[in-house]
Amino acid sequence: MPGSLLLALARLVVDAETVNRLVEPTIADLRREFADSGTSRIGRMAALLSGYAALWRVMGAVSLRATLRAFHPVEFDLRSFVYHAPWVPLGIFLVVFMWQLLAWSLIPMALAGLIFAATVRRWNTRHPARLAVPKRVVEPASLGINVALVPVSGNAGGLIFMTGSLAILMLGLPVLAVFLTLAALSGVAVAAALFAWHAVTGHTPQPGSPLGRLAR
Amino acid sequence: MSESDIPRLPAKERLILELLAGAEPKFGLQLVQESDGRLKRGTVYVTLNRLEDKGYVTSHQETPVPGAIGLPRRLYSTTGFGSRVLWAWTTLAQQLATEV
Repeated sequence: MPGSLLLALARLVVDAETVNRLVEPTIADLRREFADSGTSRIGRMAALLSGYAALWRVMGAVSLRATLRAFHPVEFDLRSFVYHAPWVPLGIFLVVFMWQLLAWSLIPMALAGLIFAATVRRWNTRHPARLAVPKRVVEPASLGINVALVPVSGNAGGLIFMTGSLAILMLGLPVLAVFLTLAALSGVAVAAALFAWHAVTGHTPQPGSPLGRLAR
Repeated sequence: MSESDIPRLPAKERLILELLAGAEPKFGLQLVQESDGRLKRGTVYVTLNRLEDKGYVTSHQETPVPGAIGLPRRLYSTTGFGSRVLWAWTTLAQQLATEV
């Protein structure tokens, strides 16, 4: 994964100062060590692996610090606590539980999920969905790459959401590939039929109705 | 001065200050390499960041070399306060060692 992509991912997840003081120096070291590792393939691979390991440890430390800050007695903030507190046990539980079911398939799934979440978040930042969304505990700027909180509508954002979700499920549960493909095709067919029906009848959904939300 | 105002210096922070003391500014990987395995790549910048927050070290990005690829590295050096804290801790440790 190129350093520029790693940096872009980090900018989506953590604040600018943390990127500047922790993530950028780690990536700079990674690139410099890789460049200095000569022509030996093993040497270059070792430089890359140790650099990536360092970077993920930094990202882990940053995430942990952000979570612990929510529990800090001085900096305690109820909204932040309500948002962060459930994720710690839930995250541990999900990894342990899902590992029993999926074992090593969990790793490509998690990577696909990370790329998907960063993509949909970036798309949403550039093209904010005009959907009616429920009042959230967190501010939009704090959404990070939590896909469940990033609103998308019936446009390219929705397409990214659907293909990303399908890719994650197919990587983890390849046995469902046929079912998921058929389900996606059925969904596309229903959408096409709805568009055709609206075009023929000239019917415009009411703005507040479920169809109206989809049509925006 | 209350107890919370007294500067604290955990082992890793002290090691970094020792490596930086009286030397040219260094970047994180350089400190890891000079520490003989006592500092890890994944945590060195976290510790340096903490030291910077405490005012013990200061940092700046190296001047980009024309034609060089990648991000410029961040170079760290001790502040006057950091040097005094290190001196105080070293003196205290020596006195304790003498008395024991």
